[in-house]
Amino acid sequence: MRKLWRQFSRAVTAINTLTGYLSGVLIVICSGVLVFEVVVRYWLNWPTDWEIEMSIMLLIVATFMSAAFTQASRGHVGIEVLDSLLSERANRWRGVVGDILSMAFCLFIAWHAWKFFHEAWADGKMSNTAWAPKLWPAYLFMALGMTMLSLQMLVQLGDQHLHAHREDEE
Amino acid sequence: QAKVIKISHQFPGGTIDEGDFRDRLVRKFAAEVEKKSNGTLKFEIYPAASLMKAVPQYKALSTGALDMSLYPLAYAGGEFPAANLTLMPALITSYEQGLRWKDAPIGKELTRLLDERNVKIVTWVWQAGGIAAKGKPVVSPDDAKGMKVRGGSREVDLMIKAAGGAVTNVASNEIYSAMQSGVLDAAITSSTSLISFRLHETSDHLTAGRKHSFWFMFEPLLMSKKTFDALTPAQQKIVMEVGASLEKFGMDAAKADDERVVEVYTKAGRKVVDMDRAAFDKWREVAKASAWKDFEEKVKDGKQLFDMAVAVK
Amino acid sequence: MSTLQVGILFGVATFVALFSGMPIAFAVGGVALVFMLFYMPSETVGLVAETLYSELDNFVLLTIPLFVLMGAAIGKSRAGGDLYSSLNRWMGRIPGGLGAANVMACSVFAAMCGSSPATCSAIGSSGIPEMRKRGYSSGLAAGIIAAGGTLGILIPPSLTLILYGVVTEQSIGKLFMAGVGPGLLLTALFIVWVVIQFRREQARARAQGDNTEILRVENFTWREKFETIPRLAPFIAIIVIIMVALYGGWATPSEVAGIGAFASLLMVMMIYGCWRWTEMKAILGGTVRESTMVMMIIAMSFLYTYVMSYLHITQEVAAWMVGLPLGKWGFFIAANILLVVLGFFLPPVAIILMVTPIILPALKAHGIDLVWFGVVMTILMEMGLIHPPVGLNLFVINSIAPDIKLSEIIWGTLPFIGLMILSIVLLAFFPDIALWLPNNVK
Ligand code: NA
Ligand code: NA
Repeated sequence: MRKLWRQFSRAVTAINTLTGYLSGVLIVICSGVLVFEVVVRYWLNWPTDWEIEMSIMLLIVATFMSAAFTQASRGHVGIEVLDSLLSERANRWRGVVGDILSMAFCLFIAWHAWKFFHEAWADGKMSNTAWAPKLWPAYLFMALGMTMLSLQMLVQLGDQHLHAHREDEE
Repeated sequence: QAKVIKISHQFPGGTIDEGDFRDRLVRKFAAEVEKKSNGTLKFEIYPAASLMKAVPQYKALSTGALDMSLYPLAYAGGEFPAANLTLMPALITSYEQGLRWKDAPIGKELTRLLDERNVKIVTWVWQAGGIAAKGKPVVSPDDAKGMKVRGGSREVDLMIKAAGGAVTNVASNEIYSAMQSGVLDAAITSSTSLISFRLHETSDHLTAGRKHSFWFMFEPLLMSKKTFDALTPAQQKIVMEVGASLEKFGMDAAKADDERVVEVYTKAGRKVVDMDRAAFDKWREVAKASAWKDFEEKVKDGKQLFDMAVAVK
Repeated sequence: MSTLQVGILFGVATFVALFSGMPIAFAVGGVALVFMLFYMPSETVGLVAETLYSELDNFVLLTIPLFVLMGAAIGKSRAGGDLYSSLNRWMGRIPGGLGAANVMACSVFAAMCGSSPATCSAIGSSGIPEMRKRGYSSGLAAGIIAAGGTLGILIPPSLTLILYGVVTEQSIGKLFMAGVGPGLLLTALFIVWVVIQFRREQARARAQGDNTEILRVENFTWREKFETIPRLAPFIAIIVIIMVALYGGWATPSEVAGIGAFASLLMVMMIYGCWRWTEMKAILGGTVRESTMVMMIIAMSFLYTYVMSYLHITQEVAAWMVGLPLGKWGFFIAANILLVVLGFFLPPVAIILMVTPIILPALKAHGIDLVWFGVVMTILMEMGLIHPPVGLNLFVINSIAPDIKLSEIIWGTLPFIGLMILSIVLLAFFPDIALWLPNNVK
């Protein structure tokens, strides 16, 4: 059971690490798209009616798809004033409760994001611009990102629990 | 106990007597309905997109998350493609023609389609627009050739592209700086927004829409059907009556802004040209081959809707 | 329950959630969600994902990851160290010279970028580690960057001033010009404080008899100084490209973010040979970690703002304040307090959109110059970015330099808040600091 959990935990973290770096690559691609836009508009007078919209999508996807990667290193900043005021035991419980609440929140958003995606996908919702891309891919990554974020939190909670358990045994 | 109705819109907020007419129309509506309903209906007004972003107001209305909005209907074109007919370039030629939609087959059909989507039209408002430009004025399609233009909507962009313009997608709050630095050569929007975006500070030509304009936009006052159905029959009647009574105010104020934009640009030392009939006709030819065709081909029942719209004289 | 009671409950719940140590983003979002579930119709909850997405669907906002990439490319490669060792040769003799150089770098960057957290991140990624390496206390180094970063929305181009101009029907050109004087004033005040504080830290080190880095005086010959010029060249080239792109009509202020990121990445790859995966990994990983943290807070605070606006809390407090029987200056001070308190939780853009229309008639009635007030309001918004509980710049720094405790960052930033208050007082007595330029330049 414990071994299975470890494998699961490692797999989740590995996937999130990969999508984290890929998100970084998306930001780089986005900067390339913008340079392209500026160059062709200023020097070649080409119409530039898709670049900004494409950039927005890339950056939103990058944001959501790296949320779990950021969580893996506890990169979502919190205010830690109670740290030095409470006992270690109290702090541990505070951490667990905080993690559970954060996870519940992210799951709730993920669930609604899936509904949001499904609706857009079923209706074939498009952006109302000359380029007119379908919108479901961006929504899909929002849902996926929030789901992976929740999973990452679950994995961290489980790992902590196992760790604490082992300490108690020792 | 009074029922509180929330009205949201994206335009600058003012008072009932002063400011953007679209905000004033909303405030007049609220005051009048509150009075006529003896205070059983009260309103909270959220100007300047201070409740939610402009585009998603439509979805919020249709689900009942928002009660009312003064909303450029074409914004909903992504999920309700027929809405693009309401900002179709060179389709409408005058305010009066626009208002005649209401009782014509196209108006009834639009009302029915919106009704299916749980949205009710309370006040019919149309607005004309113009073109602010830098370097040289944009009057006929030939002028747009090679210029970097922000059309602001799918259909207008399609027409500008067909005219040989370099359509550029700039966020609305960056038009000012884009025009200043020369990223943008021209921007098309309503007369009122040409004033509130303060483009007279950064552009040097205005093509005014007071005589002819290819840019007429439908921006009605809308109510969620969920909200409407929860009203008593007496309240429903008041809402619809007050809504209809404001249509004249909307038209007069929009026309006044078509004149005011000329004053503002002239006072700022900009050159103002009126679009003439010949230029309008040329734009219509370009629009027919681009935006009109696109609508008829891509939108469900597009051809039928278009025929109904064109039938309104 | 009355709006006031709900408002108080909302405020208390936010404080509890924030100080529980939960990540800011989820604390703020969670409180908003709970209040949505209890006090708002279920239809609004049904649109929660759509609300989040539509608020993020804003290119001006989304430039933050690009500016962060720009900062990370320089900060996580040898480029940053190189830049600062060159700067140090030139500024090292002046006490606090490097700190002053960082403040100036922030204000130069602010002239290219309209966002405060972005300014903070781009300059801070290399600035903070380099200052600490040379003996600056963590608090001072953090404070310099947090406060310097706020100049992003005061020195034009500024998104908040554009919004303010549209809402109040004031000339955006005049507002931009009015931001220049106070921007320079704040830059000067910050520099003076940095020099004073640096000397104090030196004196403290001397008293303790430590032979620390802060006491080391390096002497460089002119030859050594001029040797560094070629190393500064790429940076100057990037600044020049951005400035030309911005003011020469190539790109909008937000497109400039893409150009800056691309150029910086290209520079570290070509000149510093950073093209191996291990090096890119550090840059990419650092970029997403930091930008996602900021973007998540921004996204969730939009949810929070939505709830606060829907429940009409902000609007009613503002309307209540407008109704108080106050004179011109009494009203001015009340408005300042209101804006500071709202700045505890809300982002600048939200405050401008919700509050300005309500206080505008009163501002006019009291004869307060609206261009001048726009600048004061922007400075108050800046303060909101660096004071707790939700101070975006503080979190950016927490993320750039995770080993500095948040409390240290806050203490180091506090004096700068004092300087901002001082600048508002100066503006009240000498309005020409802001108004001279717009009134005299055509
Ligand atoms: Na700026
Ligand atoms: Na704050």
